[in-house]
Amino acid sequence: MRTPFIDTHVFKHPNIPWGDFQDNPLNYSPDLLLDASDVNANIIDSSGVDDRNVAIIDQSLGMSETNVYTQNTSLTVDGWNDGTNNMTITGGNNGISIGGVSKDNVLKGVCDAGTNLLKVFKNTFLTASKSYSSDLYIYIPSDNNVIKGVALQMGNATVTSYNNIDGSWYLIENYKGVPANTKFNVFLTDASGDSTPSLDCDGDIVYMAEVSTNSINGSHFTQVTEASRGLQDSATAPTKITYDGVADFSDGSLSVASFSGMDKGSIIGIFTSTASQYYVALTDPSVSDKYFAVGVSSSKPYLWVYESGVVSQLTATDPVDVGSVFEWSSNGSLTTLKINGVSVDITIVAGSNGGQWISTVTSVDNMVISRLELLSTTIYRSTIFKHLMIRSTPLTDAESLTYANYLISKHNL
Amino acid sequence: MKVFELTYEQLQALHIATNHEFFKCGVEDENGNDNVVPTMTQRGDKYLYGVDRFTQRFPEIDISGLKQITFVAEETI
Repeated sequence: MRTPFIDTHVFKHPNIPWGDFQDNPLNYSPDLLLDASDVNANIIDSSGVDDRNVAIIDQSLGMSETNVYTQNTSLTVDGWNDGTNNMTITGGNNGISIGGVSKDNVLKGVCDAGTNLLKVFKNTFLTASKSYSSDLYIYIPSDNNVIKGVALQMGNATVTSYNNIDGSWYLIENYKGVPANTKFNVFLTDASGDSTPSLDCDGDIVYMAEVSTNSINGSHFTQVTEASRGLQDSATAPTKITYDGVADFSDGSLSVASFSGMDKGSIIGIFTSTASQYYVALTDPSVSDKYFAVGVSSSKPYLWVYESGVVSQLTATDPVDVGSVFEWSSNGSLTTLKINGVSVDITIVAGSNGGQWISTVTSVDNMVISRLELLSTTIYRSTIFKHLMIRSTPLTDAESLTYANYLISKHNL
Repeated sequence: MKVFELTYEQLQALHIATNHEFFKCGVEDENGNDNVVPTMTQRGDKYLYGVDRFTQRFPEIDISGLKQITFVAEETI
């Protein structure tokens, strides 16, 4: 959809090419597109920001999903097991009916745990660090004495509870997670949500049907360690992800090789603070001083290119307003900087400006947000992340203006 | 910002106290023991972690014996 561009931002850029305004960044064919304000591009569970279960989705690959598992317990338990032998589980249960809803090929679990931990799990169909979405049906008979709900967990990610759902086939829809290992856990819980029930649950029954798990494509920047996740400012209307500068970072799981060969292109982001930051850093941590980084230093947008020592270290000559869109571009022989789509002067802090770009740094194999991982040290910077777009072809002047205005509008800058 | 300045042993103790999940990077040795992989700022042999973030997440864990310092970011580059 083309949006009439009628707001104050137009006064920043009177030369905006009205007819070419594009409100879809995918029109620019980005090689990487991350945005912290798109709720669909971030994975967080329903309990809110405290869980910080953030995976920033690379929208350049779209937001499609690929099915990685569909329950088939028509004859067997299909790889589901209880691990500690605290349940008896069987497949091939048909005609499990309640409330006029009947399901076949159901997995049935009968508790035999006393007051011990109760769970069923399936292993090996998840890949650590990727993002997943699951749908499944649970039926817990209302005459169970103790078991009244379930709690789901991918890997060792935060548990999401569904308490007191007994009495009907209950649909859990769009449960999302970023696992640290390959295990999908379904805990059985008592009325208080505890998976180690306080009362003897022997004989209680749980049914599970139609488990379907999808891998979310483009799931490229994740953090499986809860203590190292950036904080999203809202579960429902996020605008930014804040990294604390001590432990937080988002780790790229994509093929860095698709970026390491870039000898020109554009990198666009939002200058969110004058504090030192790394919006993105590509490094080779096995060799000293090898990195390409875009961020903030000395209160201004900064570009670092190190190849066993400084090659190019560039910054804006004049102060830049917080909330501006920055765009570093290289045509292969000269690097330029635009602020809100308009070219500004560059100061060479060290080295030279010969258009050095990602390919200048040979063998980068690490791509992260908010931290620089080098051979001898790892530096974290308190980064406020809003947007990052990388494209292997430099934007034209007209494209730079339209893209900057798109971001100004989208992020209310 | 206030941060804990933790020894490796204190970090492991917190790792265990948080049910092996909060600081875990997922490395388990052949004996089933969890090994904490540092994913936080190291200063010498100490590990730093934000006090507020930890106490908000785990208000029930006693932190009275842990040293707290004011975090100052490094500006080495």
